[in-house]
Amino acid sequence: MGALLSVDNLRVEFKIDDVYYSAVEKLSFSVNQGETLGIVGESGCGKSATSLAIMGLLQKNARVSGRVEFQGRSLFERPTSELRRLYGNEISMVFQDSMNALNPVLRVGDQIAEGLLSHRKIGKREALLSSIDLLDKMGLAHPSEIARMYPHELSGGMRQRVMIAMAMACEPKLLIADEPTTALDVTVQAQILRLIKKLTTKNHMGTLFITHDLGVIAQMCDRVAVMYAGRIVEHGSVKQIFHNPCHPYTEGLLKSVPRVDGQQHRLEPIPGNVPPITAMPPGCKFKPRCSNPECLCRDTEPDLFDVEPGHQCRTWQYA
Amino acid sequence: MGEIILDVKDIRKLYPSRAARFGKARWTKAVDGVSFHLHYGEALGIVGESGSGKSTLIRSILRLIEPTEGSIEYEGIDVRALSNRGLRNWRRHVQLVFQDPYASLNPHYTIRQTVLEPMVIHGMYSQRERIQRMGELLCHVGLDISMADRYPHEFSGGQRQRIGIARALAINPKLLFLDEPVASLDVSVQAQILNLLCDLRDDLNLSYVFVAHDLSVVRYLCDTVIVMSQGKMVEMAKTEELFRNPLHPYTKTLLSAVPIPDPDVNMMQFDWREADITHDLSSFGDVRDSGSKPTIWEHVSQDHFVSLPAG
Repeated sequence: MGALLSVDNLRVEFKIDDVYYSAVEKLSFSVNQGETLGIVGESGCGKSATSLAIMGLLQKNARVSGRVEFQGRSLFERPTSELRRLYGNEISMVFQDSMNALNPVLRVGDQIAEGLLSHRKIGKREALLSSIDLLDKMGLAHPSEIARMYPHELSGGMRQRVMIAMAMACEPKLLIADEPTTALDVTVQAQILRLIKKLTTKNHMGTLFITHDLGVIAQMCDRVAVMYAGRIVEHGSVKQIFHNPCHPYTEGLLKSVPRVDGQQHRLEPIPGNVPPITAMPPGCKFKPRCSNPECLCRDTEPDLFDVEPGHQCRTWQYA
Repeated sequence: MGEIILDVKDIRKLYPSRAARFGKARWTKAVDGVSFHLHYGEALGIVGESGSGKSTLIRSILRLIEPTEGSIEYEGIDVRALSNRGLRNWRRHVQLVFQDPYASLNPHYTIRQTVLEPMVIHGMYSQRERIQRMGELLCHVGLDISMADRYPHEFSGGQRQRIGIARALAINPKLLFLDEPVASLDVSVQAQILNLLCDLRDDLNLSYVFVAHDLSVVRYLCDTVIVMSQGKMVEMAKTEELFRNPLHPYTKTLLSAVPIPDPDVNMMQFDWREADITHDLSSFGDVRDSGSKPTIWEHVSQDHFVSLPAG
């Protein structure tokens, strides 16, 4: 069985002052059915550009090249009418900022029903009833009253559940979750994460989970891709990444996170900052911040080399 | 631990709720009876979720907003009795670092002006000393003096937070209030700022009141932790004691909800109730209850207190 989503050599460029700068480059990964792939990285590493490129939601100043296949067929080569049937139906997305992603002048029940009305042959009444049912499944108390409310009447956690309900309405095969819990309190985050996990298992759905939070990655994902400066620098199973990090950036990230459990160590932050896309260093993009004494850096950028089966790392060390 | 620098007793901040215009006045208790004291050189963490009143609490202590009730004593001075002039003098000793490094710096001021301004306002040092001090401060927070003539927009989030810290330190305060200083930063930069705050505290013998929603950050930086919910303190203990032996159900819920960056620790085992957490809080009795039941503070062990439902 082929992968549900496969991204091959994706490149996203943004036009700034008439010059194109690449935000995402040489990006290849795949998501299988029933599997959660996590993409982790700091701001400006190209996580969101990736998800927007897959959803075809990038602004006009962006240029995309490479191949994105959904169920074996390229997304970029399909006609708009077909894409319209696909997005919101078989591929759907949960956005980070639920206040801006919901329509402020529509009742949330109607917003959830909208997807059903355009993808399923059902009437308005029926669609509204299913949206109430969905809200109920999201664990919201009094779903029929909430369906009649406007986004501003709901708390952040409730709005996020409404967003997930919208994404789940047509039982998608692929869910793209872009920082779905970042703005939420930890207790609410814990509930939302469990909800997504439950739905992934139940619907045998493939999930692309984008976050900067290593804790969330460890708890949610089967495989992880660590992104830095628009590239995947390390890729492997959750256990491989957390127990045997090979790229100095991954190691640095893991050493930067204070923990609530276990022994307390002094944090070892990565010096410096993520380079802006307008001023990328040549060669290895991590070189200016790298403190690895065994680094076998060359002038050209390394490829992703195999470390062990299913575990790749972008350093010359494993060439 | 040394002498007490700040003693806060029974602070309350009430806001009239919307219904107050009609009939009987109703009040929303943003902060409801918080007491603690802080020793010289101590770092106190205040954690809670959004709406728990943690920011209102420190703004009330600093008298950026007027607390409704309670007493605040700083080095024996009654802060609530201070005149405007007295407040201004007091703020020479006490400074605040804000959460959002994008909003808290004046975009029209260069870094030089930003860091010099507090010294000018408080009439401290001669002109030459000020400039020299600014250079030292920038160096101390990990910035370069050559950056002094740049504007805030030329800096990254972490650098801006360093500028905010340099500005707060300019007039040599003894006590720093930090309102979510690392919440908007990336993990690698967050670690840089946390280590900077640790080092500054040791170097300058500062005391901190540190407000955060992130428990791991508080654990890293603080000696003592207060857990707040719905405007009230629910638990207070030495940091390691609190993380090893949390007693209040709310503290336990908070701790178990933090995703652990280790795939071998399965947080999904924890039994969250499906209902919205705010409904769950009602089961903790006093936390949600808007009635005027007094909170009973159970003294569990030395320096470990937990609030119990009254009655």
